[in-house]
Amino acid sequence: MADFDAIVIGSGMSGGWVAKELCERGLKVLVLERGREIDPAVDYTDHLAPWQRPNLDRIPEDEVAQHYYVQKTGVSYAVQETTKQYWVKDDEHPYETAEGKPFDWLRGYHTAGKSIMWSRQTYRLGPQDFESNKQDGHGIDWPIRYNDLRPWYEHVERFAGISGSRENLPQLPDSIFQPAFELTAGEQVLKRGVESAFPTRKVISARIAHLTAPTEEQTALGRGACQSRNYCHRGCSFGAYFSSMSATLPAARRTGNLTMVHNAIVQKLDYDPATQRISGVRVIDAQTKEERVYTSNVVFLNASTVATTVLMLNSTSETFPNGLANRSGQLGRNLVDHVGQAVAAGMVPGLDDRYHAGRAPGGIYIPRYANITEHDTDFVRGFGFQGGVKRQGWNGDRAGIGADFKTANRTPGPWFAYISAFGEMLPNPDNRITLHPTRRDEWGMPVPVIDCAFGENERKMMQRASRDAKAMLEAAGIYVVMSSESMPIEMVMSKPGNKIHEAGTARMGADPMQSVLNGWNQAHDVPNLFVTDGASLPSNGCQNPSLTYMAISARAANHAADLMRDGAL
Amino acid sequence: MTDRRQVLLGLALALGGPAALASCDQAATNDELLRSLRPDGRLAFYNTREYQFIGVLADAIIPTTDTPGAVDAGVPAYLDGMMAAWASRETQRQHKTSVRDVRARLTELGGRDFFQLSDEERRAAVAALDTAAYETQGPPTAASFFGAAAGSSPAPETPEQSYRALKGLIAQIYYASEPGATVELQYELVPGRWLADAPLSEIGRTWAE
Ligand SMILES: Cc1cc2nc3c(=O)[nH]c(=O)nc-3n(C[C@H](O)[C@H](O)[C@H](O)COP(=O)(O)OP(=O)(O)OC[C@H]3O[C@@H](n4cnc5c(N)ncnc54)[C@H](O)[C@@H]3O)c2cc1C
Repeated sequence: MADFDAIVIGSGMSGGWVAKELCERGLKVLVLERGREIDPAVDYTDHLAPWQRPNLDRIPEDEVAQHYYVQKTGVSYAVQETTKQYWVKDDEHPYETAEGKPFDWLRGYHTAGKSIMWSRQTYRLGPQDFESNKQDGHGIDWPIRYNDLRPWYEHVERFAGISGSRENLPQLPDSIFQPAFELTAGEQVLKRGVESAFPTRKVISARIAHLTAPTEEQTALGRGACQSRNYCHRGCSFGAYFSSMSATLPAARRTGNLTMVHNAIVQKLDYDPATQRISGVRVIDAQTKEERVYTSNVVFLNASTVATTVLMLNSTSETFPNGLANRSGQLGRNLVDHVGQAVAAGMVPGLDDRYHAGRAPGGIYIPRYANITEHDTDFVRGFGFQGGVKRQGWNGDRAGIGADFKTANRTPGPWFAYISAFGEMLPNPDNRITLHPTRRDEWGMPVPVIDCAFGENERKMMQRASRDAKAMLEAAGIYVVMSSESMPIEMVMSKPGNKIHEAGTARMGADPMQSVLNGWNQAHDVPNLFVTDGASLPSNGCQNPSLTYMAISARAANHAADLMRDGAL
Repeated sequence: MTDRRQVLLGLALALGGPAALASCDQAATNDELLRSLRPDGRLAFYNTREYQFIGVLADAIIPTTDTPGAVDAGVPAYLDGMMAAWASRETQRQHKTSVRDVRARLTELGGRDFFQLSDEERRAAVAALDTAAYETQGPPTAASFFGAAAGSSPAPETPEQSYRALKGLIAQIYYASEPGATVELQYELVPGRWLADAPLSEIGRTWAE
């Protein structure tokens, strides 16, 4: 008799969904989380006023140098004195990169994973994103299409709560929306300017996982409407943005079917060649280093792309000497992120008599148009832009002193506009995660070696995005003060990993010789193993990916529950 | 720290009357300011002279007017604590050099040691340095905006650059302080609504955050 019906490894964005769906289907579920337990009463810092944050919210410089040298430089805006509890200490969690190929591995180990720290931008993939691999020959064809996932997008959106506006764009299908955050006067200027100069483009309100009109189901979980504080990276005491903490884990817990164990670092999955199934999940306690084995009928891997891959590569056996379920040799390959940093920023003239109140947690989004509505490109796939136009506040670096300085700062500053691209990265088998042959972390886990770089297509894309960004601001009459257009392209390219949308390393596909998982996220060769985080995706679109991880997790979990119900697992 | 200036200010704030505060400003003499900047041996980073210099500089840039100024808001003590707790040795060294360079430049501009100048003369010296700093360096750029947002900027090389960096820090601490955020500007911990587009006249002042 197994200890549990199912084990879910990782309690973050994707694992939370698997746990909820399986628990609601009546299965006994164990969630193993390597990090500590988050206690909102202690860990959330969203109630602190500016004067209550130590040292202007800056982490001491020596502490950054010692513990957060990757995390802080990677996402400086989100790693602060009041949020550092959500980020791994780099010195305790090492990884290596190939010579001359930096990679940012940005993460947090605790209840709910990165769903606590994410920026909540939420977009469906479009039909084209499931077909692009097949069309241009990069990567392998997806075994599923948009319509396979569409009902599951709806399923997770209804529960999670997404604010946004209906736009009827084929390439960026509408979600089930709660009311959108309205555009500022400056954003309206950008929208009018861009849409009239470029009829093939749209400027829309950012779609974000925030409650603006909570449903009964959401309030029953203790969630409330967004208060427009924009302190989200510190955790939300109102539960207004979607996280495993605010939404999926409480839903799983209230079924009475959830067991959750923290500080449980999964190191290895045991494979039994006789049954051709996972027979046990090996765990080392993060604090005591005690080792344990848990058993279940089915195992879901949701440790996030890189960690999931490490775990599978580390789970070798006679049957799978190169990593669990890795008959295809594709495990660890085809690592993708998004490419970014093509930006333009500037000042909107006029609008001196308009302002805003409250702090919206999102801004605007410019959906992909390259190779959708515009085909004059020298690259495949495309990019979208995130951005915003808000009025700047006081300015400490303005000329003048005394009463004049104070008075000048009582009037808000100029309208500041920026847009920043997120482009799709092509799957490439050479972009790869392997395990270091000798180096291990404190818990005896081999350290990953990440060998990943952008290619010519991503460079061409960012060149185009840089030009477009500037042209769009200018079309709206915005005075551009900063643009990546004039920069050497190597300076424009983000570091792989920096967009925190890593995916692809245990891809799904129809052919077991070319892919690790089938179209239900189930390992071709190990029927009781499912992988439903980013590792499972054959390509990544250019949209922020978490909504897709949620939908694909819910879909796979329900499929597994169906199989168990039918006695097929 | 309960000299007359503080008591008056506290009283005025308690009464909530900006008009009452105006007289408080006039009452503040140079000596009173320096007295209020006596650290009582609790300094974590600066020596007394440096601390007083920061206080006088902060007061010239953000004086008490109908609203509290930088000294009322506790900027010197906050900066003292922050430089001790946050800054690396290298940043501490650079910062002390900046403070020294700015003071030397102000002494040059004032014709005498900065501390021996009258209130008036000090303000004039700071005003002259401010003018020079913005003439020679141009207006703020997007790069300085992004740099400030990231909490890092290149080490200043001239007294003018040092002055601008110090001024920026003083302003940041002031507008993050409770009086700076809520009396001088306005701040809502929990706005509870998003008003995307409204007349400035209805909203009033700049939001502190
Ligand atoms: C600052 C920031 C902004 C972002 N903004 C957006 C955005 O706007 N939109 C968007 O779509 N996405 C965004 N993301 C990305 C988003 O957070 C991820 O896509 C999402 O969290 C991935 O879900 P996951 O379940 O794969 O991983 P996670 O949410 O990271 O969860 C993985 C969990 O597994 C645990 N774990 C790892 N290894 C083990 C192990 N060996 N044993 C047991 N447990 C383990 C971890 O501790 C963690 O709790 C952002 C991320 C960050 C950091």
